[in-house]
Amino acid sequence: MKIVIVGAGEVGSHLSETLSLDDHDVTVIERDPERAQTIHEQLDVRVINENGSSARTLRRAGVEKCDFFLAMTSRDETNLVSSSLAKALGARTTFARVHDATFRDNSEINHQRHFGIDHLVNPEALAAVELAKRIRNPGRVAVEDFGRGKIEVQSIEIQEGARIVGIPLLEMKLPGDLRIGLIQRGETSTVANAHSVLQVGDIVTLFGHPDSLFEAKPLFDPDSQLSKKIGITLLSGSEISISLVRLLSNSRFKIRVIEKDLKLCRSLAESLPNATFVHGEGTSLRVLEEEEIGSADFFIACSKDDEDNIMTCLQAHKLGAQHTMLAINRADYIEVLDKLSFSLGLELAVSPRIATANEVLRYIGKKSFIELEEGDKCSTCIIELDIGPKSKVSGKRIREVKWPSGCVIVGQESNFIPRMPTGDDVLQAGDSIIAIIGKDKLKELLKLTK
Amino acid sequence: MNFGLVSRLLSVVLIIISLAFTLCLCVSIFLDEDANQTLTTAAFAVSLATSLLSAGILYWIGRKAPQRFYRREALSVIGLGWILSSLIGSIPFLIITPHIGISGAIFESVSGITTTGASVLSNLEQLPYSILFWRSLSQWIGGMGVVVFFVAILGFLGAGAKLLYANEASGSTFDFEESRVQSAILRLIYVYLGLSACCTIGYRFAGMSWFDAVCHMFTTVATGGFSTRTESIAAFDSASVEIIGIVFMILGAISFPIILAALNGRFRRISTNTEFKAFGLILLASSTIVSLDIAIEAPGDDIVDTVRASIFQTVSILTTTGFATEDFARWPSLPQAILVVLMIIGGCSGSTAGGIKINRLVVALRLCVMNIERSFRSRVVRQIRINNRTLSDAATQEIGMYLILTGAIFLLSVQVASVFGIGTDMGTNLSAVQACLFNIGPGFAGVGPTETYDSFHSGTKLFLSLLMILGRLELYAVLALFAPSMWKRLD
Repeated sequence: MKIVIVGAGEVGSHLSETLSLDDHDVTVIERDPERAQTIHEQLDVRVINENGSSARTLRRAGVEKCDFFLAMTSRDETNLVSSSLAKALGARTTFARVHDATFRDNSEINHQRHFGIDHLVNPEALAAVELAKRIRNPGRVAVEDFGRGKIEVQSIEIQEGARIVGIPLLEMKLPGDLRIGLIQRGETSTVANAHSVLQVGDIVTLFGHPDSLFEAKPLFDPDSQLSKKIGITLLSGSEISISLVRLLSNSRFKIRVIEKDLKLCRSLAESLPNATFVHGEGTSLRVLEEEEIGSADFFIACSKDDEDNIMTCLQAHKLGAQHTMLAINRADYIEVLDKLSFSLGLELAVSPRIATANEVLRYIGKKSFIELEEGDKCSTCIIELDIGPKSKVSGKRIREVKWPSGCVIVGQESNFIPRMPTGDDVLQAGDSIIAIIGKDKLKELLKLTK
Repeated sequence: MNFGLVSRLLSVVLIIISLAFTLCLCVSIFLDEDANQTLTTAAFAVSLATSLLSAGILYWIGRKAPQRFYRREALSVIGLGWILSSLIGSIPFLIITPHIGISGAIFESVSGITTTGASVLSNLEQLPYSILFWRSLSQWIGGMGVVVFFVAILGFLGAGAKLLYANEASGSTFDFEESRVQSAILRLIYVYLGLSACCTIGYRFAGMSWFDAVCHMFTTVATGGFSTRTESIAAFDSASVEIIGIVFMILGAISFPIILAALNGRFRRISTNTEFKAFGLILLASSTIVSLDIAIEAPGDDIVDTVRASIFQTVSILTTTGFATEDFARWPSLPQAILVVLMIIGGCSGSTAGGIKINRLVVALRLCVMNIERSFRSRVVRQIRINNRTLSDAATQEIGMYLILTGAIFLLSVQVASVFGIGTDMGTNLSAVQACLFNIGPGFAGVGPTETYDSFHSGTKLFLSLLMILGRLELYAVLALFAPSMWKRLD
């Protein structure tokens, strides 16, 4: 694969390293001579020491023949301009790293379509998704998410006394747009259909918005508590914090943010009314004690300073916070933190760089579809695939399409907005859908959507 | 220092040498006269066995090495690799031409592999074909670089391949248009192979036998300068041979990435290449002056012959090849003075030529001009640009330091070479050091094109051998081997 990356900062260099080690042809465009030199010496990539938003440079880097164009500088405008130019010059798929939420707001204009960018990625938001997943599902290890955290997948075992036992799915009333994908009974698992009936002991795989999933839990497991509030304390009002506060907007989360910049506190308090802002130096023990960090369920350090994050997490753990997590910017630290996480009491270290790399790597596969999760024993898989321009299904309602037997459409991303589809939704070329399907029927589905 | 990996890579260097020995073995079996055949076949069989055995041992030592590869490892692989292959390469000379002694054999082998072309052997016509073939082949391998040959194949080297290429082939990897350094290097190897094929065919049609054509091709595209004849190219006395020689010596001294760009039709890259233009200018100016001066000083000679000889000799010296059609040691003083300067300049970076390289010369000149201007206009800000790229302060400083270091080594070497210099005059020593350090081969006075290096003391020969490797690897890879901190553990 030919890949062009603009910007050799933390995100860009981590991506170039991962991709070049995976035997892709990588060209990096970096304006700073020193950074260009460093990456030139360390990685087997071609480096062009020029401005990434100039069309001439892009042409020199060969974007017209590249499969993936990744604009990963820390400046939104540079990324938008360069990936827009690259698309115009003929790059097949473009990614732009964008921090500012205004570029995601498609109510006035569809930014992605306007700039010709296929995917907008926000490292900080992706890291926040990772953190939010763990906060919502403490103790659970594997929770998958699609559509940047808008659709989550969870497996729940049906407990004694659950109200939904014995009713066909057709008549079941689930909150939100929740979908039941797979039903695992004993060793075998089947794709759910309208006439499936659930039994106690079944493990069902649910798809839906994280909040609907949470609300639906008591239906499957009567003992789970709905009412319990979860106290979360965040260190610093960084972009990760802001994204996290937005993701955890449900009223059961009580969020406090400790930020040392008073001005920032004020402006954030204005834009994020459901969180409490505390003005203070989060690294000081006194502030932490005054704020009674010891009683917090979660302490999450997401300031821009890695060392501060590590130390305050250790403090919070010592003070008695139940779960401590942190964001790490330098990828070099991740490995040692993973090793020491148990003895330091750190539950999770999330790196925006690695989260971005993983998000991008999802797309840079050899297949035309992406396998999100693979059941080891079962013969079904969950895949995300794009609907091609000449596909038979485009322009039809989901219920009108003759899907292969045992196929369930559990998610749809149309116009770059992920949601749970209903039978009446119309599929269009360029949409991507998430489907559960038996592995033997996969070819049929691919043929249908191609 | 990751000794294991260095050892394993050295074993790959030896595998390349073994392949070359296998070719020589074939030549000895099929071409050598019956009288010599037993000796030459045995000689190459022994060399091949030694080389393979050493390769095996080195591989075994490094079999479990982790694949960490940094500058230290790159420099030591190159430095040690060249010394090792020179030593192994001297075995055939030791057995087949025992009269030159151990130091002579090492000198001849180093001179081959560093593409210098200085020789201690006379009466080449009486030597077996196989040893002549090895002399030439060693230059062809050394031209591209022993390490460069395998860098393109070993996938695990990754970015290490850049370090190895940059340190051995004196070219910058920054200008590569491929995103994988290894595929870029592979393309350069294709250029080299292509040039070689064209050159062989050219020589053959110019009237050489196939054997002579192949041997001279090896030493022409590598800008080495060994010949199968004692009189060098003069023995063929053919204008077409000389023209083919001139063309391919020039091609061998042009930066290979530039040749590649030309083949791909990107002529803009060539027109913006300062080094290429400077090379052309130097070549044109010097050959004109040399021809004019000789024509004026010897008015009786045929003017066409004079021009032909002048151009051939100028090209041969500037590209650091060292072929001779004329005893330039007997030329008038102005052409000689020009040749002395050309010997130091050498070819373009990223080519097979030696010398200080033209890009360094250009940068040094611009630095000088800039500093002179600064002496009376201290506020002026100028950037040093070459090949359409601005050099950083560190890069210009590095070039300045390199030139100073080369000068210092040159001066110091003249002293060392004179230690055993009983019977050799000052001019000979000076010229020998220059011809070896800049990888030319023949020099002036006692080491002129019709003379050999046989008369030197064996200590001097070994020292000159070291100088040749120093010059070929552009100092650092060899000098680093003598730096104690290179080998110490960083505690």
